Amino acid sequence: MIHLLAVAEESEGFNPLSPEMGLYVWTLIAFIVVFAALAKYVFPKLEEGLADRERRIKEDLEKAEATKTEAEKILEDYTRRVSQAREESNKIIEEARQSADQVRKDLIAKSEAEARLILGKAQNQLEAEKDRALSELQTQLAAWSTEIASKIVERELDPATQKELVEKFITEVQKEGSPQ
Amino acid sequence: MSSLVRTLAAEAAEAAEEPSPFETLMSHLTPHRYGWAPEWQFGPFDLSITNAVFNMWLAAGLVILMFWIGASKPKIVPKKFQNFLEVVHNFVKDNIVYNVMSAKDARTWYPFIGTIFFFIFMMNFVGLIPYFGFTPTSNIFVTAALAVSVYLLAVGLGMVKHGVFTFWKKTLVPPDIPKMLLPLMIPIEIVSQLARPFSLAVRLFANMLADHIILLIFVGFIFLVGTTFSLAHLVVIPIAMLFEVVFTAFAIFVAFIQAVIFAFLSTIYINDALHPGH
Repeated sequence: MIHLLAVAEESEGFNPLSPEMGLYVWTLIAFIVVFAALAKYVFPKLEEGLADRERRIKEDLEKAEATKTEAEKILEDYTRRVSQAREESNKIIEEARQSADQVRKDLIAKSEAEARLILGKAQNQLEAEKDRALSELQTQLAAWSTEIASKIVERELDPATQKELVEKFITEVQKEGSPQ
Repeated sequence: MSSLVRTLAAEAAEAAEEPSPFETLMSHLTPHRYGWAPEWQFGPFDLSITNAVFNMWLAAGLVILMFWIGASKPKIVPKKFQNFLEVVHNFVKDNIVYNVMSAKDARTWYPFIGTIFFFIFMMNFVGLIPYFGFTPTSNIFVTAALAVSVYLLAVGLGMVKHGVFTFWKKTLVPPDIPKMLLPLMIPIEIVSQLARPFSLAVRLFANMLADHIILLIFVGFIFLVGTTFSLAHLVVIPIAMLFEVVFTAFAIFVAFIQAVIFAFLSTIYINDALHPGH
């Protein structure tokens, strides 16, 4: 340092310790000006801004927490309702299935009964037709047999004898050929 | 380092009769009055506008402008510059003031300590701006003005708060000490008290001065190789430029650190004066 100062003395008086009392005063004035400006206008505003932000963040966080709780409640409610609705719909489907089953069974039973009725009617009709056919056949046979018999015996029979002979023939025929 | 400077200066002086490059560079470290500035001499105080005064006001203006731009209308969601200012502000507030003082004292003293920090940092920094090139804090009268004021303020406050006698008794006599040791301890405490403003001023001044001497030395190398092209140019200039860049970055760091140290120690001294004997 001493060397440095010595050199400094030689070269245009470079001396970092040369008295500069003016600078001392200027420094104080400049410092007071900066201090007044910062302390009065800057730091309070900055502090206020920071405090405001802190408050806002805190409020927002609290609000977010409240919203979250509410959302969770709503979600829970919704889930409950959905599961309720699902149960209800399952019940409805089950009921519908049961009633459809019932309707099907009823329909089957009804149609079976109807079918039976139709079948019965048909059978009765068939029976009646058969009887009618048989009776017609009987009449026809009586006529034919008379004709045949008269041709065979070559003689006229009185109606009473004729009827007797026919009935006798029929009875014989019935005995021999009737299935029942 | 000093012998190197001397050698360089001597060589430069020999090389030319007119002011050597070295002398020109070193003149950057001395305050000098501008040609246009009138001479204002009031008794022992030369209040003429020198480059030191100009740069000091530049620093003061920059601090105020910086906060005017960044913090006059603080936004809830800060943009880049406001964010940067708030980070530095919070750093000084939390890591320096609230770290040392009680919350109540810290609230009162933050504006003062904050001003010390920002003002000193900006004064350290303006010296690194090209064309302005003089660091006000590399003059001991600037740092002394701040250090002595802080110390006197602290001591004055302590004396007002606790009474002159109680304050000095609590400050100079460590608690729970055998009476036998008092003749030894009191002078030590007096020296330690006197050393406070002195060390505060010298630390800042010496750091900033040394910083700029280093920067000027590396620039000086470039001037010293001369204007005639030689092999030396290829070797010296790149190395000097490299070191210049590295040390400029380092100087920004030192500017910040020294401002932190000054603010931190000021806080400690004021806190000691507010609560002596702890």
